[in-house]
Amino acid sequence: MNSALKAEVYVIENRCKGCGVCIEVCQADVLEESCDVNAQGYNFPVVKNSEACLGCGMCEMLCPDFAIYIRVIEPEETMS
Amino acid sequence: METRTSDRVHPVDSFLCTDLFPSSWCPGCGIGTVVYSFLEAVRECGVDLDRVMLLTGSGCTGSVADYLRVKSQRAETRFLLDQAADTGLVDPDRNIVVFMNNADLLISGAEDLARVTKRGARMLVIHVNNILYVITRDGLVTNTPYTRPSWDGRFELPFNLPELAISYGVHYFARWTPLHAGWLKYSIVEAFSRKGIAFIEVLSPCVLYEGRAGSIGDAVERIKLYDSYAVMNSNARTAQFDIRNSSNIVIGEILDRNAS
Repeated sequence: MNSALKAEVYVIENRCKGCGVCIEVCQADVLEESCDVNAQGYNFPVVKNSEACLGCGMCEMLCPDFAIYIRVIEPEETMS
Repeated sequence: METRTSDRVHPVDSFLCTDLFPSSWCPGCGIGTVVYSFLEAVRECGVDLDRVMLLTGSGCTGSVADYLRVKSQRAETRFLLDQAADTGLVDPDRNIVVFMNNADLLISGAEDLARVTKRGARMLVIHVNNILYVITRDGLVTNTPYTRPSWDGRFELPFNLPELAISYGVHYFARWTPLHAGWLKYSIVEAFSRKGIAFIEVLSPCVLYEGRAGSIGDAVERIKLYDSYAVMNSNARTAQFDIRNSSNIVIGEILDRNAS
């Protein structure tokens, strides 16, 4: 996907409750469920394909536990 | 560069009591999404959070006040809307925000809504409607669709909440689901600038008790279900917003009385 908008996904693992909503709503198939568990015993999401992220922010909007967020990279930052 | 997990800061962390997280809500609960949309709306329209007074009532929606760094009051179920109107009278410049659930509105507060609207109070009401009354374990409220019988086999007809609130005279009414978090944020931004009562209903299914009834499974399935049921139609007649109509759930910005 050669999109102008690029973004990075960050997961705050210890807040996750493993509902899997972020994995489901991601259109670009960026996230997957990890094999590890966090302090509460939930399988948190991990980023498997960072380049594919479109920066739509659906994972950040729909996460009920404030455990995932994206940071949009400006185009000039990408070139440098 | 890869940052460590402990260094990561969520964009709305400045509004949250982060040491209390993870929250007490179930995995995939819609309330967290509603709170995120509210905080994003506050950030976007530049409302000073010191000038916001948050009022919450009972139940899971009541604990919204525990997790936010906002001046807040927890009112008794019966007096939630009255207390919000009185707080608005004391300090008219303050933005009053009320988070309420079915117990606060439909069990004991529906007549208060009529009185408060006629008094001309100014507040933003966010009603998290999970079509259940969770405290009594899978109980019915007056908003439960009649396709689900109660424990003794009765059927109960829900009433049409948009039609009720509009006839009471609210100035702004919108209905969304947690899946439409972007639209929900837009509605909250709009509602902050309205003069009267702005009412936003969020149809948020209860993961725990609906899962137990067998109709909806986990959080991912309810996201798919709401995606398949929700039809966005802001120009529909208010009679069409009845959730008794089980083929679809009409959502949208239903009413805007004083559009600028």
